[in-house]
Amino acid sequence: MKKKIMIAGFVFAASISLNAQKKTKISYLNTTGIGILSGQQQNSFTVQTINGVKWDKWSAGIGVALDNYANKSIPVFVDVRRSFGNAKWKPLLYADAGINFNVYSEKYPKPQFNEYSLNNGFYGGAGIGLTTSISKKKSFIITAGYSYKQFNWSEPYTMWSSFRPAGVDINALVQNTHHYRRWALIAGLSF
Amino acid sequence: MKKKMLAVKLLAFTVTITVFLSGCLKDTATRTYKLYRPVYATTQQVMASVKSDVAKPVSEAGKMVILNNYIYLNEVGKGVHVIDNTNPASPVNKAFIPIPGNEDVAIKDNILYADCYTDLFAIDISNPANAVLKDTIKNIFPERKYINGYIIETGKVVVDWNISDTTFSVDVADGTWMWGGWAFASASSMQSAIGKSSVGVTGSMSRFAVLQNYLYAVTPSTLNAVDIANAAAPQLAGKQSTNAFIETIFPFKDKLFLGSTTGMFIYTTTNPVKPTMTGQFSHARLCDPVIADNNFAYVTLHSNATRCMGTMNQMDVLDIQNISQPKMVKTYALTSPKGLSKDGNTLMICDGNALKIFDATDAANIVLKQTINIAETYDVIAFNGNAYVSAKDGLYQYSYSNYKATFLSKIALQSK
Repeated sequence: MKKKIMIAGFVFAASISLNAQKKTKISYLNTTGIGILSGQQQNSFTVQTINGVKWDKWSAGIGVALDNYANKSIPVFVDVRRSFGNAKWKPLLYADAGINFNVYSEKYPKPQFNEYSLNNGFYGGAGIGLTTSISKKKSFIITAGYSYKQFNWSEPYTMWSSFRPAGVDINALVQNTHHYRRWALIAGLSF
Repeated sequence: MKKKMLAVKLLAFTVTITVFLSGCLKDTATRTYKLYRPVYATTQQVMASVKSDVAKPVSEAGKMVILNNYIYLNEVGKGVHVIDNTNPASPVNKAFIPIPGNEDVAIKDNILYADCYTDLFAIDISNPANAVLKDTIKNIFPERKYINGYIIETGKVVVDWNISDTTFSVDVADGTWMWGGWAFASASSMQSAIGKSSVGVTGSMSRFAVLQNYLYAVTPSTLNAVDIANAAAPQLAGKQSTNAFIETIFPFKDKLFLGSTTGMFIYTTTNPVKPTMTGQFSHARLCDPVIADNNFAYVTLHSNATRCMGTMNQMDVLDIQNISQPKMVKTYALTSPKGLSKDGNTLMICDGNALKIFDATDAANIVLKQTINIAETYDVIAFNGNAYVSAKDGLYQYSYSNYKATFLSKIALQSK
């Protein structure tokens, strides 16, 4: 999955490079939205903001999100998107790739004795959407797509761990990786 | 108006579909760790191999014992390096005695005592270049039959491990963290001047201590008394529960000072087969080797991630003139103290990435005199003007006087 998203990002980036060579006006663009993440574990709230540039039908920027799905985290990612046509409701494609910064929460409280630690993981997604102008500079945008985040944490197996299988050193550091796969539906404004 | 209604319906439809389709996606979780698979030999094969072999590079230095011109340095879980230290400025790695599972060492009357998992070996080192296994006590440390999650069968010894990275899937619900953390033994520094030439000097992190005609060996839960009046033929004389998670043992005069994760315990050896606990000093859950002199006990407390826990890093100096009621004299803040050693008024402490040398003339006013930067110091033995410091990257030697140490040599560790 990671590879597919990275390839998609690369294709987008290459396209951006080619388009940049055309003398198209480049302007600042902020896209901020709220939405839901729906997966096996739960339906969860999310909010994200992307700051970047747009030119012609392309836009690219750096996004930050609050992601409450399963474990709280703050994904920071590169977002690339393209709209198509000139209809009032224009379809678009988008792709995201970046780092999922995991944060301590009630479920994973900050350890008192470093008995475990949270580690950052991959974040990515891709999907489709619709956008329409609601004023001269503002657009309404709604997207739906696939979202993936990786939640990593490590802990030492200790002497009394009841789940320590044969062959694991008591000093071993065990890496745990959770792969969260969700549908993401986000609505917001671009200006 | 119709268009707005259409947009709202479209949004509602999309939300419904998104939530409905969530069942199509599965969250997964994996757990990855190094898996150890034991390589076995028979007890007879291991005993036959316990003899001086060609010298090997030191790769993981453990505890050590000093006897005359030799350093016997534990290679953790592997055996004992025999190092000729006739010239401390240029020590020579002379031989290696393979002892699987070895963690602790002690010496009396040219007999090296070394643990081999559950067993205790008595090895004649009269000629260090030709060590000879003289006797064994079987199953004196029964706790150590549990290794890396395996229960070792009688008659077999783990001589090596095949290590591989292993990843397997777990249920996401099982992937939430479970804190099984309890402290585990650390152990070892230096022991004071029992050091006539017949008894080796061990460190404060040691779990072996020789006192008169007995070898005292602690496990996390027991104190074993081994009669070594006939050094080459040790006999298990007594075994008692300690009711605490014991990490280290330090002998001084007729006393034994036991360091545990919850406090220091003083045992008198009036009855050497069954020492009696006569005093204790409790503290928060931490790792704590202890040494002592006539009037004071010096307890270093350190915290870490997995075993010691706690949050304090300090040295407590205790007045032990009334051994039944040790009294706090003063606490000294440190960085991450481990082994310590005292020779006269010179106190040395392995403190994080440094060896610190103090003037301990006044226990209530111990003064730092020198800091030597050494990465991850573990244990120190200060004895007869020489300091032996085991650290992450090697075994260092210093000469010292007037609270100042001068570098002599280093046996660098070879990466595994």
